[in-house]
Amino acid sequence: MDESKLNEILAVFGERLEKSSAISDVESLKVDFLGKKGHVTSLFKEMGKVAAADRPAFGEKINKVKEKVESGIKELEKNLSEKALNEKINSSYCDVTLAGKFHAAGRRHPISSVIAEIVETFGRLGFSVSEGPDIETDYINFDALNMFDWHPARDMQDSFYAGANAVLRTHTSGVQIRTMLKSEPPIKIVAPGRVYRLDEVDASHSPVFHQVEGLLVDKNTNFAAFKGIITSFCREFFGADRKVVFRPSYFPFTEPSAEVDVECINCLGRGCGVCKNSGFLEVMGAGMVHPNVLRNGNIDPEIYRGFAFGMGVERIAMLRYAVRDIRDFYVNDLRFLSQF
Amino acid sequence: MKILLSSLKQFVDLSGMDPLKIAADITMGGLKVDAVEYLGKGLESVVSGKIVKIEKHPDAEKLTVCTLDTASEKLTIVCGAKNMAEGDIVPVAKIGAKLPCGLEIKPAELRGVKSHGMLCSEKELGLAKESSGLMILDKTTPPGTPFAEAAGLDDWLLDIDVTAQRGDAMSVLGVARDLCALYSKELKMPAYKLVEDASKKTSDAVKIEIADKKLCPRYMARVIENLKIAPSPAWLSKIIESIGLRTVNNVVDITNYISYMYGHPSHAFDYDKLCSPAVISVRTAKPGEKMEAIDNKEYELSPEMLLICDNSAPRAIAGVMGGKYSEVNENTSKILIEVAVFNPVTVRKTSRKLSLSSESSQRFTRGVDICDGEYIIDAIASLICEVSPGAICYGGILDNGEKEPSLKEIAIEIDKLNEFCGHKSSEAEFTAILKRLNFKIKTEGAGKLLLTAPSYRHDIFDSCDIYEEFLRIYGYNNIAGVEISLPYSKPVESTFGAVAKITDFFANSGFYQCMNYSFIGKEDIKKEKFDSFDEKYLVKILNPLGAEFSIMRPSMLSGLLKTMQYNINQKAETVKIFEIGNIYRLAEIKQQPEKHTPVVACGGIDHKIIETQCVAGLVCGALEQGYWNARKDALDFYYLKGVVEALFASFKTPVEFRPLNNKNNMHPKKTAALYLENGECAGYIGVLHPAAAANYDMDLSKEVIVFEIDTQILVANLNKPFKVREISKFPQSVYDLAVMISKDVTYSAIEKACRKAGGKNLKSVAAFDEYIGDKIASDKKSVAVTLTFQSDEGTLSDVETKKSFEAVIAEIKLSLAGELRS
Repeated sequence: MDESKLNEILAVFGERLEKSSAISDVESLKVDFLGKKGHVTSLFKEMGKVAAADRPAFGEKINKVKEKVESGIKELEKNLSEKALNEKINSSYCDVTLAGKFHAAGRRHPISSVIAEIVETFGRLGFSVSEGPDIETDYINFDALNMFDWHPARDMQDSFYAGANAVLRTHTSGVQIRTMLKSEPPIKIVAPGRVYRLDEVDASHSPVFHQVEGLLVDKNTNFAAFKGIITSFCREFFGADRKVVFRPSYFPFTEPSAEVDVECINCLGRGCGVCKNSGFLEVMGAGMVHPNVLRNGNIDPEIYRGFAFGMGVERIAMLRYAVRDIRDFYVNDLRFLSQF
Repeated sequence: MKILLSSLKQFVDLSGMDPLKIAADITMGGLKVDAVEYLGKGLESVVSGKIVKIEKHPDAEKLTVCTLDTASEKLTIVCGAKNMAEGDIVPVAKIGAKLPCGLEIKPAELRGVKSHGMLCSEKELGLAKESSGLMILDKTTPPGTPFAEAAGLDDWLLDIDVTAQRGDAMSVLGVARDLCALYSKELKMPAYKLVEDASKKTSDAVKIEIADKKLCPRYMARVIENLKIAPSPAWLSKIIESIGLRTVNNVVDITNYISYMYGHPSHAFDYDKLCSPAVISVRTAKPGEKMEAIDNKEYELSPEMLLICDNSAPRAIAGVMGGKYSEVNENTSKILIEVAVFNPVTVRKTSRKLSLSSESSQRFTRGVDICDGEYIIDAIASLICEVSPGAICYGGILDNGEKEPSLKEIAIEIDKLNEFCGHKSSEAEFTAILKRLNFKIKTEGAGKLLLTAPSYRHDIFDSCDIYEEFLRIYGYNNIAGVEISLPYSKPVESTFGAVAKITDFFANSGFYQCMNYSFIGKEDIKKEKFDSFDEKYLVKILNPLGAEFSIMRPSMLSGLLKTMQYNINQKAETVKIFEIGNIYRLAEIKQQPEKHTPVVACGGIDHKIIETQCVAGLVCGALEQGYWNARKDALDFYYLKGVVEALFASFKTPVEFRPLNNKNNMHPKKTAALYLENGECAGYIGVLHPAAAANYDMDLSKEVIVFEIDTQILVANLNKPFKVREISKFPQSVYDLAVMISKDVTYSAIEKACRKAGGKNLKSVAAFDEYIGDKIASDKKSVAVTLTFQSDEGTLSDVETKKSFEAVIAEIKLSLAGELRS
């Protein structure tokens, strides 16, 4: 037994390796060289013929041959499987520019989204949601809010009636009274809801629309705090750099009353069609709660003060999304809704 | 309310001030100026010019060549008009003018003659819709005068939205008072010189009787004779028309002018039409009384209405409108002028009841000044004498009633004011502002004051009203907002959190949220084929916008169906929509209702209104759309049921679906009622009855699947506490079972049988197939279910699970007559 035999085996293996191109060749190489009757295996069988003293050195040589064969096969196997994978990958097809498979996307209604956003913003200030019925008594909707029967302000809010004393609420302000009657100060609530006005329907008037009302009642609140909180909300909601202006106005249930104007979100105050060139948009009515209203809510105005605010959700959504016709919110055209 | 800047300037010195700034300041003082308009807009480059020469155009018969003197220059202008003569003063639009009619004036050459401007007609200047020929100006107009000035158009019109409580601001004077307070300026009251004929006494010519001083606290009259009723002079008609009124005649226009200037309406009666001797009686209407008003309509008067009458009949509805019979017209020569104060509530009620609102009623309902009567009536009389030369005013005012208002003193403490404002102001600052607003101030000690509002303010009752007065003049925006930390307050219970979760669930499940009106029409109820909606329990609107909006919806379906129909007409292939909102019905009141419950009388019985919040949804059309390889199989009952099941699962609320075959508007074979563990029904789901679907243009091949669920149970189960179930470490054994069974046996019965017999280790039962068709008997179905066995305590042996499986088969055979399918 000499080394030439070993070299011969390696040479033959080398040739076979060259010619191998399929994964099936790997198996036959394993059988022919490492199998029970394989060339390398048979070398071990010949160990007995080698003089005892030479066996360790010879054994080492055979092991080296075996290692070479094994690593050669492993290498081959790796190369071939890589090649096969590459071929498979390269022959596959996908047009990544073709539209994605259908994902059944739905949407919140924009009005519901705007309400959620307002509620969330006030929620962070600790305001919780309070609700009231759509159909109210005259007392809750008007009288308790300092709007007596003869009050000229009642003319501004022509109302639908379901009974002599069952009015479709003209604003969410009645929730102020209901909340005060059932809870103790400090009170911090927002009240989103549907309201109804007997208006002719046009691009800016809908007989059904939504408001979010807010109320804070506490011992220590005051006009400056009212301004601070409302300004924070407006900046957070309409943009951090927006100017916020408080303009004296009138609501029977607040005194002093204010309209809150925010720098126009369309032109950033330069003046445009949206803000009628004023640079500002009226976004909410607000004010310090009138002492009579606190009294009607069983709260002593000598001890507590409060402020309240209310905003029209459709108006804010129209400004924000450049919706020109309020009726679009109630047509429910899926092509409209899908844009939100 | 529209007012002219020139009128304001009669009361307050505003010289040199920018009109836009004035408007902005008025707004920030609390009277919102909605619009500011320059009356001479587009007339900036138009001046008066004297025609010094008119020559024929050398090359055109219809044109002339005019030479104009505009003081600063001489212009040659080619003109096509014929109505002018040398020496006339005409409006000349110079090069660069952009006229109200849209015309822009450029240098031009007309048939070889250069023209440096244009001579204008009234139409071109935007002063008339039609006009023929040039506008010829007054001969005394100096050449070179800006046209806007010459035509009285160098003025600004302010449109002010006066809030409901500010009766005092319904006039130029009222706005001027605010400006004086804002600017610390002095108010100038125009002086009127009235010449009376002392030989004639008003008190001889008329008597006044007031039945109820509460309804008419003050009534003043004057008499003027020898009048010539004529069109108003230019200055007057210009003002009347600028502010949006119609000019009538010199007398009526003066009463309107004074009302515009001072906010106190007045009325002129034709004296000779009043019964002689003239006795004015201010009384409420007698039953059945009628009156034709100056708007030519006859009004039926009711006993709460206040009237101005003579001995025979009503001659005016107090504070609302005068009567036709005694109206001042071209034949009138003697008038009685009324300046009165009427009760605002009475005027408002009358005006509402008659649906008759006038400039006068709008002012009386907000309250007029009780103290200005003499000034007003003298101003009217003197101006009438001025516009009708030769008129003779009787001596003296007939004045009946109160002259002083009853005014309340309001106590103010500066410390409290500062606490309220969150801002430190000194007593001096405060009193300075309130004095400018004409409040009377008495000092009661350091920082303590007693204030009385001026007689024209009807909106000051309480210290908070005075705080507002101070703040609006001091400037809301001069009080810095502060960020304070808010106290903890207990959250109020609401449905909002649960509703938000439901909304997000459906939106994320591919549904579009809709919003429909809360009211529907009778037709909608018919179309939906509602069952069990007893007409008498519907909540009806007494004064609806129309029949189609007259019933508060008793179900959410109508809106969803209309939405579906609309979108299918717009070629939507798939409609998956939902809406959350209230439905309404009446319920008889059996016990004393809670306080503040709206009550509706119906059929002689008191009812309360039940508002129930619902979530409802609808699907129809293709499973998928808008995708190049979309699955076009139709959305069906099982699809929507899967969504609803997932909704309840997300609220950890077990729900059972039981067949429901008696709902009128629903398919009797494809509808289920939803039952909760406590046996309560929470809603329904199913296929809309094809007959109802047909009413929304759906053909029989297309199914509309809907559900409607009361949100109450979901609200109660938001944040329902729960603990996790431990996951078994041991292997599970899975068995499939196919049974042939009567079609009438529900899957839920099969599942119950499995669970009953399967023992404690049966972890789950799930259907994976159902077959109905030609291969089996027509009254049978084949149902395949997977049973999964697993123990939490150890590995189950085959023998054990096999035994349980066989027990299930036996149970199905025994109780449901189901056969194992080979």
